[in-house]
Amino acid sequence: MILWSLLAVNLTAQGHTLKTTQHTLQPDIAMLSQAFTPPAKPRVADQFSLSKVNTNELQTVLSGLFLVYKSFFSSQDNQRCSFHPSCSEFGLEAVKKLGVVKGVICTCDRLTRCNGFSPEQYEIDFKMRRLKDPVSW
Amino acid sequence: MKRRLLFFLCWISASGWLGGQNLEQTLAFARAQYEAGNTLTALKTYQRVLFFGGNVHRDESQSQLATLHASLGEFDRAAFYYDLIYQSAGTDSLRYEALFHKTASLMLQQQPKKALLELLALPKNLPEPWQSRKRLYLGAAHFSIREFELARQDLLPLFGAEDSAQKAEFEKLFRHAERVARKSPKTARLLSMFFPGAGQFYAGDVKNGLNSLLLNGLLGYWFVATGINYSFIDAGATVTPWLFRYYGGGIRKAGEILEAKQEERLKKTFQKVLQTIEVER
Repeated sequence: MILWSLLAVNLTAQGHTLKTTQHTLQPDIAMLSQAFTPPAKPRVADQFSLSKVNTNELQTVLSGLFLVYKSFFSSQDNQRCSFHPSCSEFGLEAVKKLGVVKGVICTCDRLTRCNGFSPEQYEIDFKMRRLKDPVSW
Repeated sequence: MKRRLLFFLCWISASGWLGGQNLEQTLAFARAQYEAGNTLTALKTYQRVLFFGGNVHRDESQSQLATLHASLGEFDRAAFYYDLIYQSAGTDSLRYEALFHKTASLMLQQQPKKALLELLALPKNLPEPWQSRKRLYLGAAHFSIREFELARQDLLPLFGAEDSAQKAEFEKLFRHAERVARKSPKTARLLSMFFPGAGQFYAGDVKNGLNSLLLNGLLGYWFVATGINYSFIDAGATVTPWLFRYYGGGIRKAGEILEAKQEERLKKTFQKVLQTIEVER
């Protein structure tokens, strides 16, 4: 807002007329500097905020395993999972929502279904180009 | 029914002296909202002024709408309003000003080719300070599309005629940019094909290079160990899907990482170029 206000000086309305007042390159340089700012890289833990919300030690361990998987294994492979959310994200969500026992059972069930052999059984998430399969018990 | 009739009669009798906001009141409200920092309300109100006012207060509404959209990060809408200002501007200076603002909006949208098209529509020689601004934006647009020599030629006149430390730094930064852009994603992918992780090292991403090397090394060890201890048919059946997943993924990622790293480094380099211009001026 401040940056644009700086530039807006040039086109500020004065009654019915617009006037141009800029004689330096400073506002343009500031604007271009903003355009050339590299996008911030989010940390894995920030991308999956659910991994930060743990109610017991077992959930903390499983969240840690999830983050290790996402950081060191999932980051190196091709996108293979047929579903959205992906199997690892599904596993984390299932454990958080249903508890450890039901969550692990649900995740095992999901892993056996992640093969792309029966797409007609699922709705399609057109935005993600994946099959929809949210956590449910 | 009686209540409805009563309401209708009251409404009819009141409609003679009740009235909505007129254009001037709406404009005053829009200005007040802008001053108070209520961006969204100001935006809607200025849109109303522009819609109902026609050419009355058009210039103010358009420029304020462009500024408000830009401050909200909606640079495509801002560019649209700057374009309207450009079309209806009465003087050359105002037209140039609107065009530079539109160019800035396009650059912020990461659309340097469109920005370049706008800038090339300007006359070859402009009076100062427009010429310097044109050079700056042209340089930025050319740099974005990796036309470094053209960008250098655009920006060099912004420095004084005599040699200075800033000018030397400027030349050094351009040589660095050319070196960064010379690396090819195809080479990175090929390197990773022959030696997992090598493409990532080539791109300058040591962490991902080590990660890929370790992962593929472990899977390779698992393949060989299974082959020796059991049979290579067993090794093929058990390890190959994993190996294919991470080996193939590593090759693809090497190219992606290089492209992302190049983009990041070039952006940082141009920020430094802008700093040298700022110091020089």
